[in-house]
Amino acid sequence: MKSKKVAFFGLLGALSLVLGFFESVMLPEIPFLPPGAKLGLSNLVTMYASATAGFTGGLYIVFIKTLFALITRGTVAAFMSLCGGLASLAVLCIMLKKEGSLFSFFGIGVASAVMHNLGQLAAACIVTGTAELLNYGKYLLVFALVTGSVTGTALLLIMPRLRKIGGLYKINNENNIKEMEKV
Amino acid sequence: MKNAKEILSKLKKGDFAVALVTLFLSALLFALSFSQGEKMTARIYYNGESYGTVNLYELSEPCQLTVGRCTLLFEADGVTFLSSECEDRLCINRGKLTKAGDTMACVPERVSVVLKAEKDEADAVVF
Repeated sequence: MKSKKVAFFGLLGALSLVLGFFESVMLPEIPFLPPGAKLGLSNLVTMYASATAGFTGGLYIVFIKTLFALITRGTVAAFMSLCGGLASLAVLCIMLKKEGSLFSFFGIGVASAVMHNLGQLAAACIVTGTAELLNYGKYLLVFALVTGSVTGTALLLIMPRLRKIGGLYKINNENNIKEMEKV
Repeated sequence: MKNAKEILSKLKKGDFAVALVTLFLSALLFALSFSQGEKMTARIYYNGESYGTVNLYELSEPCQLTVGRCTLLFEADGVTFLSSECEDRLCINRGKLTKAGDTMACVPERVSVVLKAEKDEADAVVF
């Protein structure tokens, strides 16, 4: 891996961890939230990485987040982070292929938030051996609709501007993977 | 609002489909878990296995139970996670589980509780 690529994903990974920390400090102050619910700001980074660098780009971010959870909160937290991350990444990458035609980042944000929650819930079911926990999904689904709308809309507004700037990588949906390999 | 117009102009058909499917799924789950006025039992799972069942309607006074490193409070009208050794406190913040179908788990400690409705024979509907 080229050093520029390492630096790029290092920066993005750090950004996602900081955003995750920020919301973990901020959110418990807001009442009436289902426990375990998060705004998913760090999902913004995963979506951005996948949109610019494809599946592998998103995978790096998911792994960085999982590794961080493993170091700071233990194996169970890491397993949940990984399940949520991979579930949302899979849907994310499928939907990104239709970005601009069938879906905008709004729908992509909602779907990836929903899948992240469902993935984590599935992980919780596996760890505790209680399939009934899926019932808790009804709260998480509604909440994911709200948080996914927020993060999706944010990306909807940010992405065109980021694409205009270009930056470290020429950010373009069609050529992104080729660009990554050239660097 | 310039931004609001920009957002609306960029939404696609698929976005609405995603939102509707999400709403539908959650409505379905809400509908499936709807039940009322039944006798409740609490099932406890620990380490992925069934740990025991408490018939809440038989409780005349609240009782506490320690499962793993979690302490649970059982009352006639619900179950509460009183304390847990884990860091995130999700289970405690959830408060009291009061309805049949409610579930809560302390995932780090691998303890979970499911409230089940125990239907009376006479109330059961036969199709």
